[in-house]
Amino acid sequence: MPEIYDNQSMDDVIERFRRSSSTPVEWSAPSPGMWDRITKELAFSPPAAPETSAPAPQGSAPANPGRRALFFGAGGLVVGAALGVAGFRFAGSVADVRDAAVKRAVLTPLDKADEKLGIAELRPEKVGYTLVVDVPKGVTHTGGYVQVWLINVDGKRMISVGIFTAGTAGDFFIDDALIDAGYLIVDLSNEEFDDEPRHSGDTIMRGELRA
Amino acid sequence: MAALATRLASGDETALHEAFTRWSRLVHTIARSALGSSADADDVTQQVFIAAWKSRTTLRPSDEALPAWLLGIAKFKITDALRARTRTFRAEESAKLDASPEIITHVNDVLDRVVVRDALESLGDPRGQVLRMVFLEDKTHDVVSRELGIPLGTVKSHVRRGLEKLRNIFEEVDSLHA
Repeated sequence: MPEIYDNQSMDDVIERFRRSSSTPVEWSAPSPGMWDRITKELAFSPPAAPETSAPAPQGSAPANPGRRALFFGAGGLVVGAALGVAGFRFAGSVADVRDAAVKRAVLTPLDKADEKLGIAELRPEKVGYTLVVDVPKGVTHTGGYVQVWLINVDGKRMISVGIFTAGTAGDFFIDDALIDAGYLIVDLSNEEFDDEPRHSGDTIMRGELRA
Repeated sequence: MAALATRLASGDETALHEAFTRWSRLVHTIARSALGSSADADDVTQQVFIAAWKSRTTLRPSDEALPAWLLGIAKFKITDALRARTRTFRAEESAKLDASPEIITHVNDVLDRVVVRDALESLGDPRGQVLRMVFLEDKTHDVVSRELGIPLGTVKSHVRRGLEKLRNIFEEVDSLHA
């Protein structure tokens, strides 16, 4: 017996959902180097040597200095250092309208559970949550970027929630379906610009959201 | 999300890069599905992010606005590309043609398909799975509850909230400015 949905508009939603799911969708990605072409066409600013203490470059200088520039020159560490964590928050996030956190995670390296590198807080919004990630000493990945994930407590599934660009703090919108389904482990990883969407396996820090 | 929109609107170049990292695949997939060509999809994707940067001051920072705003630009660029193809086959090239109804329908269909697929993935499991099983596989709530090993009430809740999310997404897609 088919289930009955009272709301007329929901019938339309269901019909449209069915119609748009009848053909499979194959994900595709832009060809490699597109971001470089965009930065060239827009003439994005070249790297400025950071005056504050930056993490030592890993290995030799990257082949494409333009990419590193996006983190150190155009608003990554340098801006973060100028504004500080509190400055970043007030410079455009929703700090003043948030409710208290309902869950909190202490972020540590995988092999050093007592080395607290950061905190993640889950704050309810009108729709979904904001995950507020705070890393006071900062974290960046030279030549690549830092990505934020939620890993399911079953250990089998994960989902990316965003990029950790400013280095010290970041807000990420989280659908409540993800929290309900057990995606409660916050993970920050080093990623390369390689069009490979999966987790690199190189976790910087991780922690589980608990009440 | 509000922070990213604010940063982009105020000229932070790393914000464009973050938007690119997060949404270039979505834009490219929509473009490729509508145009049938990866090369054309590349052109459109590049144009979308360049146009996004150039018109960044028109972006209003709010939680849900940024991806919708990008998709609005994408819809415009894709429709334009399809109109240009039509024009090259017509004698009166100087005529400014509106997008034909077929083009509009085609682009809207593609948008729906890709956005729904993306929504299902972002809902994760089991909510996305429940929606699939109930509406695409026509299983009853009882069957879904048994097969997934979750309570019947939870299945109903996933269906209700999943449909609400889809409705919100369709409303956003319908309000895209092209």
